[in-house]
Amino acid sequence: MIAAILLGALAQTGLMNAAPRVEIIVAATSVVVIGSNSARGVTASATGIPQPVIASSGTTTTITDRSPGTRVLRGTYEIVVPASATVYLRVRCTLTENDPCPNATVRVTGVKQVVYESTDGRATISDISGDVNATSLHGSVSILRVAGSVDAASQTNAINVSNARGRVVVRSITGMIALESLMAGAQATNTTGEIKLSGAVTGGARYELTTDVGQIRLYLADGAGATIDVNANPDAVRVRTQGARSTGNGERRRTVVVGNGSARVSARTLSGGVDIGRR
Amino acid sequence: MNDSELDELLARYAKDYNVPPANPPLDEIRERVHASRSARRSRPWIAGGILAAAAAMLAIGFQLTSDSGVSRPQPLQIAVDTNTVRSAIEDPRTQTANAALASAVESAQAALNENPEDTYYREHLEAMRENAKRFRAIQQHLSEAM
Repeated sequence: MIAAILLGALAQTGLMNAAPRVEIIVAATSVVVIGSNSARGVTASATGIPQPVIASSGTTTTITDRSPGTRVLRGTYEIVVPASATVYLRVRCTLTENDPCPNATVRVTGVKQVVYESTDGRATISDISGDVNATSLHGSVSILRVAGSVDAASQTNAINVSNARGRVVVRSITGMIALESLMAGAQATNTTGEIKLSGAVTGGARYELTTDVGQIRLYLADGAGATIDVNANPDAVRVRTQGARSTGNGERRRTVVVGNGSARVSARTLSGGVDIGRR
Repeated sequence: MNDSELDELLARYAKDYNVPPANPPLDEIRERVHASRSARRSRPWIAGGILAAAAAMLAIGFQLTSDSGVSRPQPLQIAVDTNTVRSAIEDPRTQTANAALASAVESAQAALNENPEDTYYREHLEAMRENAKRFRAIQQHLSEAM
């Protein structure tokens, strides 16, 4: 009884939460974060720019620029963290210094969990054993091979998510959303941008694709089956899959069954088109 | 943000929006940012106050986030960089995106008005409004965070 109370208290205070946490707030044109199973802890090095400041408190390590400010540093940070780490990565960008941010690149690979935030730049987040949360105003985000869930948004640039095992929620306004081989379904919302779903789909999983004026493209892998509920201008719907069964042809609402029809896909666009085929 | 506030915001997006020129006025934006920076530098007591507030926020943020026992990540509490705030909001791409949001909600509302019994149009309007709300929150969060 006492042990249980003590365990509960420890859990409440976070003392049992020994997973390392790495917070990185930098402004550089290149940032690389690599998860490693070696016991070296957190290391950070810089090329072409001053070495970053590393501070630790308990299980949390923070890494920041030596001279924080609005200036974007034209160099590379390479940061190695434990593979069990949760990484909070904020890459500061600004339009005020010769507009370097669209050229900024960020790569995070091999960690447990990632929270990424930026205003611009190109980010690639891969081989994550937990969840990914990525937000950018104008930057592109590519998220590959994730064991957990994905929540991603970019208002004006592309978002790519592939090979995620958890639920995927993606948003954009004018950027393109490309989804591939998502095991637990997805919810993608766009405004003027396109949405593409390709590759494998899972029987019983739901894939909800909504855009206002953008195109929706469904290119399923050979052997993949889905029941696709289409809601779009009938003149803008094209089905190019051999053997697909379709009901409601010529109407705004239409159901297309591809293969065994086991996955559920909702493809809705107010004034865009829908293209259904095989990859 | 409630629905009427969102409607007001979207109306402002649509009203304020001007089609961006082929060449965005980057020089003008930079000049305004530099002017703002110069003004800030000429008032060191303000910079000191901001630094103190930022340090307090940093300390509180790290304390809150490092003691969390939940697996869901908590947002960072980091010092504000006002120049980046300005550039993110004034970026013509954000204005274009906001105009697209406003246009989408308007067209979805018009479609629903023409088909008031059709659940699809109602759901589409809700989806567009939700997207607008989420991105408004993202813009605010990143503007404050950067």
